[in-house]
Amino acid sequence: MKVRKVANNSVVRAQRVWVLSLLTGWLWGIDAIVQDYEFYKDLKLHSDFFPEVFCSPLLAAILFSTVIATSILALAISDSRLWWVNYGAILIASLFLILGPFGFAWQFPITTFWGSWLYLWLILRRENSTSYIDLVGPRISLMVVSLVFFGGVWGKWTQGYWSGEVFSFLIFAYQPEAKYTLLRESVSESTMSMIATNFSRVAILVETLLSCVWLFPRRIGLVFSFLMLTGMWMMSPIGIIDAIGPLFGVVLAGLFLLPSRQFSLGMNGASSKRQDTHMVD
Amino acid sequence: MFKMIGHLFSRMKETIRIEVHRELSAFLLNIRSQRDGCAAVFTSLFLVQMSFIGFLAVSSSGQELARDRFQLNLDWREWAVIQVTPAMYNFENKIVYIDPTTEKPIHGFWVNHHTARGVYEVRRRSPLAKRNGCVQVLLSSRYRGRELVTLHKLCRDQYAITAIRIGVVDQQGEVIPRRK
Repeated sequence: MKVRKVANNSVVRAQRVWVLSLLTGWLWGIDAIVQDYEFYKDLKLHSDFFPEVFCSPLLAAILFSTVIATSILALAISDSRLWWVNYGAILIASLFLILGPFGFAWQFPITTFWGSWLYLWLILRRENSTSYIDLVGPRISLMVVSLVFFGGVWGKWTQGYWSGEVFSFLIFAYQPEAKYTLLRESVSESTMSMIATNFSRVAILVETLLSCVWLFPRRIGLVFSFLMLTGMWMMSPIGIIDAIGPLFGVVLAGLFLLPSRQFSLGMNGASSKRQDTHMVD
Repeated sequence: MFKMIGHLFSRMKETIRIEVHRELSAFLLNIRSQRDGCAAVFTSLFLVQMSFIGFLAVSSSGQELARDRFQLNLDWREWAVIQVTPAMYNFENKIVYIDPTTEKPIHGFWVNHHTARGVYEVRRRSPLAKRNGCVQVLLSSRYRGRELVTLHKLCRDQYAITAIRIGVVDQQGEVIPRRK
């Protein structure tokens, strides 16, 4: 029996939306890489902590550019070999940034690293039946979101964050963006402090809920995550898109993988009503 | 009225509980039956990471490990193992730049996490962004009353930038030099 395998359409859509969101995040961060490269091009970085190979701004710039280039190609051409190249570039560049002096404090390589698990799974399972994809893909999306926010929220359960003191400095007191400048000009210091406190507490509660979405029903969890990420983006400094861009992609990819209406949950992926893998004699 | 709302709420809660249980069981059974190695490895990693983060939240040695991570107060290999664990906006972290000749603070500020950015993000907020010389960098991270303060030295000349970890600052303000 000859088997002709066709990539699942929902997988292709999910792959594209994830790569597009990742690209948005990384393009947002390109400024930082270019400025680091400019700054270090005539200077050598000596560190008693980081291994020398990670201290090369040129290598960081090359890996970063490779992610951008392969992502554009993977968006334009739907070819599984290209997806593998793109995935490899994303994985190597993320790890290089996470483990080296140029990106260890950035959030987007971390969200990209965890989001890339969904991408890897999509590449490996692109020819599976739709019912299997529907069931497992969205759950992986929710697990990625939960993990990132669980990692974020546990460090915020502190007096400084609960009182609003930390966020007051980090976001409200000095951020040069128009929305914060306007806010500083229009409200008194005590009102500003109250806003910071409430913002901080809402952020902690929302992130706590987001860290639990892996236990939610898939559709509810994904819609909730999407709404919360959108709210977070609107309320926070706009530059946070570099960190939450890959997460937006993970959530949107999960939504694309869901069926347009709920099918019964068939065990073993056997109850597919939209079989996209064709078996041909 | 309240009784009816309470009844509806408990019905809804029960439906969600059953639905989630059904979905999670189906997820695990399908991964197994389809021999989906990628999903199985990811699920295992997810559970390990969640447990690790949960452990950090409740254990004092875990909290000390996380603070050490933010201040690069570990060996690079140990640090690399825990560096992929997500930590968006974590702890109460401050950076203070000190003039080494007068030993007076130049400026200080809060950061969201990874206080060591005060040492390595030279071009951003460091006093050495536009000039040569040396500064000391004092990093502090606090989590529920536990605090770690470390001192670093950052120098810039026309050829290189050099970052050195000096040691941990104890409660009396004495610097305990880092073991080589």
